[in-house]
Amino acid sequence: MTLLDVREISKLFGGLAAINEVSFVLERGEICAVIGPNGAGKTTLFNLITGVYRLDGGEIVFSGKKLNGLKPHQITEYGIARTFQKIRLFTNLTVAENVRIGQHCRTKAEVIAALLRGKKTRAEEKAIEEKTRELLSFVNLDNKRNELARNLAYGEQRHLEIARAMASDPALILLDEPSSGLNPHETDELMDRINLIRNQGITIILIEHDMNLVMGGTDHIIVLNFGEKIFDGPPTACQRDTEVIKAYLGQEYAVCSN
Amino acid sequence: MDKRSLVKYGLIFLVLVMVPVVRPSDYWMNIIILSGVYVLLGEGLNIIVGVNGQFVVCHAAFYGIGAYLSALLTLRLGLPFWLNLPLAGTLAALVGAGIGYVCNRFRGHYVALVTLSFGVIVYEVMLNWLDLTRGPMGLINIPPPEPVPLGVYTFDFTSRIDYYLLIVVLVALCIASAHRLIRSRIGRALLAIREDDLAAEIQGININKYKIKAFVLGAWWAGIAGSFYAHYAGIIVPGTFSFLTSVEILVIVIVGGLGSIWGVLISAILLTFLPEFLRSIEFLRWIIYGIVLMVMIIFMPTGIAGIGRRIRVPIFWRSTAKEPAN
Repeated sequence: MTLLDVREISKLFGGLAAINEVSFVLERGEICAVIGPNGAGKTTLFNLITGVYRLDGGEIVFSGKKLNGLKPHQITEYGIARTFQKIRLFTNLTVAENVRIGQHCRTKAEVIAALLRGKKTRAEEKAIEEKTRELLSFVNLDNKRNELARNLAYGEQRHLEIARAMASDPALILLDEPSSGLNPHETDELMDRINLIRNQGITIILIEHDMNLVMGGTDHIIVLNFGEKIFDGPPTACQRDTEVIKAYLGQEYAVCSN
Repeated sequence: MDKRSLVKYGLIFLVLVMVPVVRPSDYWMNIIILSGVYVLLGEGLNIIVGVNGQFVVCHAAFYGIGAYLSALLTLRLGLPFWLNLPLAGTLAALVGAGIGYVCNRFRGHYVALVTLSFGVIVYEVMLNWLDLTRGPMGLINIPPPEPVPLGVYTFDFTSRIDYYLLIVVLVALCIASAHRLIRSRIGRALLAIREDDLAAEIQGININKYKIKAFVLGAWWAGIAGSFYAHYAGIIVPGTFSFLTSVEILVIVIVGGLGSIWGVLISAILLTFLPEFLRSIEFLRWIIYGIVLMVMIIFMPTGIAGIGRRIRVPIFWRSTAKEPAN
């Protein structure tokens, strides 16, 4: 079943096409990797899907609804969550507070309700608390819930960002280089966690440079080069594709042999 | 209520009752009441600047709008103070919403510039719309609040004790609401926007809407403070609501610790009393005041809240104050 349908989208920066008529389809429940050399347009693609950038062409359809022209917060409400390449936590707030904020669009209390703190609001806060605990134990941070986010180790911050993204009950999560800065052990842990998230029925699309993770842990690979899609298919076919090898895999090899 | 908060509120209550028991002179009573007004102003601005992270320099304008509306409604239409008080808060909040809407088109320093000019405009209007505000002569003979019989005691506002009790109630309401706000969905959204507005928007927060909400809440308390002040002082002049007052309130928030309710409370009281203690050395007064401020900002960039957290004062443990970037 199709979850995300990207149809010939383009994004221009000045005269340069950062994304040029890229189309692809994501099936519900798959783990998809977007790979490609630096500057290929991977993060731009994420910014287009989440509404941070406006589309210059094409359209994006998410579970039957068109996302064109929507604001990022509306897109989050529709069920798309993301993390950032450069971690963007709420650093002066506690770990638990970060996850609570993630639940914003699934809760309702308005100013008056928040000030009066009636029965309904208290029940809602209790539910928020419960979910926060659940998500923090999922990423093994429950013992650090009152720590400021800035005081967490780098790897923990990456996991907290994932927990925060999951707090909005998404159907699709976009992870922008989740393994960057992690050691091999932490990367393994991350892979396990990504699989667990998928098992909950959440579709995942990630930008990744770690080829072990990409080839071993995903169902679907999209390769971008200079804003164009040059490959779209399963990992096994990707490793054999001559154009991919020339643009990305081989280029890396060439760097190594120099 | 757990034991710790019982002790906390017990202590606060004790200090508050001590004031009328000790019966300070009218002069000190005046300072105490004014520090209450500054607490309202500081806590209000703290929501916009400290919690929501918008650098706003026109809080005295909201304060003035509340004061002038309340005074005019009484003087021209004969409306009672008790009706004017919420009306003043409401008008200030509405104006705040308008400014918030305009500020949504700007970021960072430009918000400071936009609000700065707005503050100046309001001041100029107070100064020059002679028919309405009597300009620099100010509005005089603003009557005190109407008496409130409460069982054996009637609050008739002939002594400062009655004003004191009223401002204590207002401050208590303000602190309690700020406290609830910060620990609610709304407060968390405001804090998230301060921390990182893009990340906040990606969490599903409509940042433009919430920035306006911060303005509404902050300006509301400034309007309330203005209304109280007008009927307490009995006379208002534009100078009270000038740019300098806006800066003073901003200093209170920064010294208290951006986003810290208790920090701002303490700093508002401290900074109202400080110039009074320095009165004996009149010619050096504002110089010393300025030096103290500079020393505070250099050596305690996180304000009173930051110090409180470091030396582990319980009320600052769960502080939402902002720390400087490493």
